[in-house]
Amino acid sequence: MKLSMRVLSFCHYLQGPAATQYLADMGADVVKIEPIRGAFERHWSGGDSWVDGVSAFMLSANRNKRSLAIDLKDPRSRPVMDRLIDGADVIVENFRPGVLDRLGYGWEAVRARRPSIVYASATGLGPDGPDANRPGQDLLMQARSGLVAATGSADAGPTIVGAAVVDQHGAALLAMGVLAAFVRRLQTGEGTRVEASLFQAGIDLQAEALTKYFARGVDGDPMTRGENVGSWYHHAPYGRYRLRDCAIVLSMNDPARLAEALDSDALRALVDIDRYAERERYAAAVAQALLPRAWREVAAAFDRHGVWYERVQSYDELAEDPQARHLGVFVDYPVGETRARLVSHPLRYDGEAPAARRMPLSPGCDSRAVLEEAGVPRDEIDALIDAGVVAAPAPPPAPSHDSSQELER
Amino acid sequence: MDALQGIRIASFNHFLAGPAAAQLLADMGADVVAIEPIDGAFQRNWAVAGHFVDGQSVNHLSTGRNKRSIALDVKSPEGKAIARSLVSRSDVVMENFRPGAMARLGLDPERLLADDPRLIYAAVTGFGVDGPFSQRPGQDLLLQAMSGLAAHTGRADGPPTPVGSVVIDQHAAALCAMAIAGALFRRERTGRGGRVDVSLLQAAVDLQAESITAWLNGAPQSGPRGPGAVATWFSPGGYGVHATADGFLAVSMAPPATLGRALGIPALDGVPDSDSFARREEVTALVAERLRTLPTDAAAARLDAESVWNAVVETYDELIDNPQLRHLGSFPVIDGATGAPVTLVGHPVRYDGAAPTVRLVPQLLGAQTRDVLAEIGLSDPQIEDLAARGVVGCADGSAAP
Repeated sequence: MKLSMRVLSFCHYLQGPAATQYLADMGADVVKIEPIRGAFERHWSGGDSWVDGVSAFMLSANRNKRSLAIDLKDPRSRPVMDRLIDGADVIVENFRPGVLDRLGYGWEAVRARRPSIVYASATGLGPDGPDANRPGQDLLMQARSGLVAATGSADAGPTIVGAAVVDQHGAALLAMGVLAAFVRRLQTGEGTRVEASLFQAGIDLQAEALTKYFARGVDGDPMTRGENVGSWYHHAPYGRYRLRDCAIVLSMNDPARLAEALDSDALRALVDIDRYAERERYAAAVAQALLPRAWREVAAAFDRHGVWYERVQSYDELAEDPQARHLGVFVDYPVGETRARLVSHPLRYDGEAPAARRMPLSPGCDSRAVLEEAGVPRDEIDALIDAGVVAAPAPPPAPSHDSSQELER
Repeated sequence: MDALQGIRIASFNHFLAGPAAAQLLADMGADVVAIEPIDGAFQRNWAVAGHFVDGQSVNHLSTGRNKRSIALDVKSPEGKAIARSLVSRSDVVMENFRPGAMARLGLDPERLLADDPRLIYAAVTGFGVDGPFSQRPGQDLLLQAMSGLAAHTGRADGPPTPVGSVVIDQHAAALCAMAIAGALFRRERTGRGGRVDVSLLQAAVDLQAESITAWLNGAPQSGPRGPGAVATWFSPGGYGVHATADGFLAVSMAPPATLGRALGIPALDGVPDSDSFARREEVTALVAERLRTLPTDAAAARLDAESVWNAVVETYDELIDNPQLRHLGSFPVIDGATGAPVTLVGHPVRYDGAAPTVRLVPQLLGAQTRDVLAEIGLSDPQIEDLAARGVVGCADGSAAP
């Protein structure tokens, strides 16, 4: 996959950077526009996780990009940015509404200069409306979109999803919108303004559940459930159960098949009950049948009977998972004296997953190359660096294609 | 939204991830023809919570928008020939069967791609097209378990917890639509189509890319889930959902001292930012204890005054009345194909300031069989004959929104 597309990424935190990483993986030339000291994600890392001084948070969403560190508030940066915009196909940004307008790079200003631009904005809560200026961050949108309320048992209470799923899904939607707008540009020459929000990404992530909920036509509080049932809207046994030595999940399953697999008279007696209306009763019986048994025995019986189940794996187990290894889900990339383990691009194109070609390990490591390509004379670049308008540390050596792909392959 | 106007998609999809991906592309203007069995695709005949609206499955309602439907017995020789005709006039073929199923229907992807180098063939599988698990059943909950999402959700003193909606399917759908748009872009530039493969397993990992990257790169770990009231294993102090005197409030990243100032917790005075992670249980316990004494509104106002990011935990009932979502038009209410009103979750992205419209409500099975067969050159008597012999199924007329 090789997209010939030039992208300027005015992005920070996760949704915007992850969106432009999808595009960069597909071959787009993505230039990450950062403040002189580097974007937020270089200075913070969830779980306090750093690889040789580099933020794992930054590593998770910025591969295959180049970095330009430039002070957009300094008027001397303007002529340089204009040259970059003149050569750009796409702008992606995820500042709050109005921030880039104030810097002179809002949609109207850029379109006036470059009418064919695809200009994509990701905001927290939408480009306008009563709460457009509230902060949008993954946890907050999990809470606001109903995802927290829909997760966890009645005993546990509203439960946060243990990863930034709204950000990551919002990134995929944003990249999708950019690509579709670009198909139109190739066919008609017209640019498009694409607008995504983290809030609606949180909603979209639950589209199936919400459609059911609003259509349900039943009274009471269907959200409330016991420990085992996995969601408010599935029939039991759908959920998570304990075995003697680990936890498993059961998906949608034929109750007769499940009863045979476990050779359980208690479950045979419940084959014909309404497993939605009486889901707690059925789930309790399944839980009781499973608790004394061990993983090896249960897995063998379930495989024999075609029961849909999986073991609950931790991230450490996932890293050793044979199918994940087969697919090359993780890739190692050199950072300083050590290596970082990255999550690969999730898709294959013509049977191949895009490689981790490079990582902008320091802010501005590509400033010089990017500006030279845009036609800025060397003495002007030097003057901008001397004045502190642009930062340009020496770039780290790029690894060969092979070294970034060798693991898991 | 007309970005994909003129793009023809043959959708051999069932369950959720494939149909949802096709719906995203249909929203953007593509002509998606859903090719379904004579008795309808799985998602028409099955509904979680056992719920149908005026006879229509809520699963179909959540992924059927802006598509046309043709009911076809693809296992019959005539059905196979019609399916091949539909494929040969399409820009994109989509499917989410287990690996090998399409070849058994006479639609081997390698052959199709060899016959038409401009074709884009997109498959969503559970675990990838090959490898040791490629023939295992792939369903959202199973992938939540395998990918670590269940193990890393919930509290350390509680069990692994599945997420309360099918987030893997929905993310795989967005990735699939993204990849197809990328492949269309390449085709417009180079004339070359190709194959796109999405798996639920990799969508599940991708959905956790930040958290997994942190975990696999030496983050200090006490276990897969957060200790005490800490939201997740990777959260700093204070970050989480906390009970208030009358509800629940989410508190995002903030320096401990700022949280102390906002909420009136003297013990947090002078706690340096750098201790936010190391002392997270202590910080979180203090924040949780204080919030239990404050009503939600008052707590939110105090946090707002110090610019601490926060949000009220909303249920789905509160969501539909949320003023920001009303403003964004997130939940269009339309008359469904049978006339009963249905509430949909709208397309989440705006193009040139507008969300894509609902051109077609989720259609009845076979509503466009006649139209589509006429488009590939069949005459009315031929279509009647096929219908009489059960090779195709026809409903009466399209339902407009």
